[in-house]
Amino acid sequence: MQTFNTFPHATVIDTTAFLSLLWQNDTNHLRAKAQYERLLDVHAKLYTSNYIVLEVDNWIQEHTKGEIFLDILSSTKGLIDVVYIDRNLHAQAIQHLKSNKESDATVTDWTTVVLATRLKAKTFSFNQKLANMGALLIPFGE
Amino acid sequence: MKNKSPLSAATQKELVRLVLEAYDRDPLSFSNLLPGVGNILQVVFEKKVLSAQAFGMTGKEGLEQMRSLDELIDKSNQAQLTADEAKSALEKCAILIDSDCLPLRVDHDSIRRLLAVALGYSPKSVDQKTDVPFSTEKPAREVFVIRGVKLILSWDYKLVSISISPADIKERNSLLSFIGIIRT
Repeated sequence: MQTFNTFPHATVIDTTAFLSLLWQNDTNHLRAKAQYERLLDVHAKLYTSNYIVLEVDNWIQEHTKGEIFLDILSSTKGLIDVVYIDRNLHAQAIQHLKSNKESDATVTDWTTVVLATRLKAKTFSFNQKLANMGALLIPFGE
Repeated sequence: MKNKSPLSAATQKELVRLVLEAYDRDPLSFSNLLPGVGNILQVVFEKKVLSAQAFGMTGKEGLEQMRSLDELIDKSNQAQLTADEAKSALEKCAILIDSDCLPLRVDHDSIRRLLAVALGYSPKSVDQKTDVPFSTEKPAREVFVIRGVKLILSWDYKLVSISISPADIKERNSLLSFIGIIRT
């Protein structure tokens, strides 16, 4: 008998969510943990981008001296798929950036929104700016 | 129009975040305390429920499912839940997960307790892939409620069986191993 999982729960995890998950003293740590646990429990398909990996790694190198984010990510055994931002996706992000000069969003912010749109995914983030840029943010209310 | 609020934008944002969190944790108590704000947030959360496609729920039906699930979880916390009630609570969880509106307050431990009551044992105690039948209805949907535990349901979300994968249950701990590793 064929059954189907009606909700794919595809989610892109952004820099703010990773930092809240990693850093025990972060204001959003507990909420981030609860959200990540839910994503694990519903077997959500999780993505991030190489740009986000670099941002998180830079932060970790600056603040902890020793941990390497790619090593940390490998502990998730491929659960979080690192999408490499290609020329096309990068160009789309730059186009958005140029046409929204008043916004203080970064190229990485725009690549995250464009990637999430391409994957029809929600975005796990505590960066409210992304909601104004068109991303569907979780946890809800952030 | 100029914003005359004595609060900075950052403070306003933080206040909104805290209010939404408080409502999300316990909508009923929140609405009893601040009925005006509760009514506004109910409309906001109804819109979220209304966006759900899976079961064609109206906002009120979605909120009713949440209220009813909250009551069953309260009973579960007081160890007063029957196996039938636990099964009903799991069906509600599946509906809300499928609609992407199961509140985070219904966490892993709450769902694990519901499963233990419905099954009569903890899913963690299972050492090989197991399917536990509950009814002979035609299976149509599957919804993961916790990692490694999948509910097989009929079209109208009645529990048909529970499928347990011990390997996936064990894997969860390693997937959480990086959480909170930075303590500085």
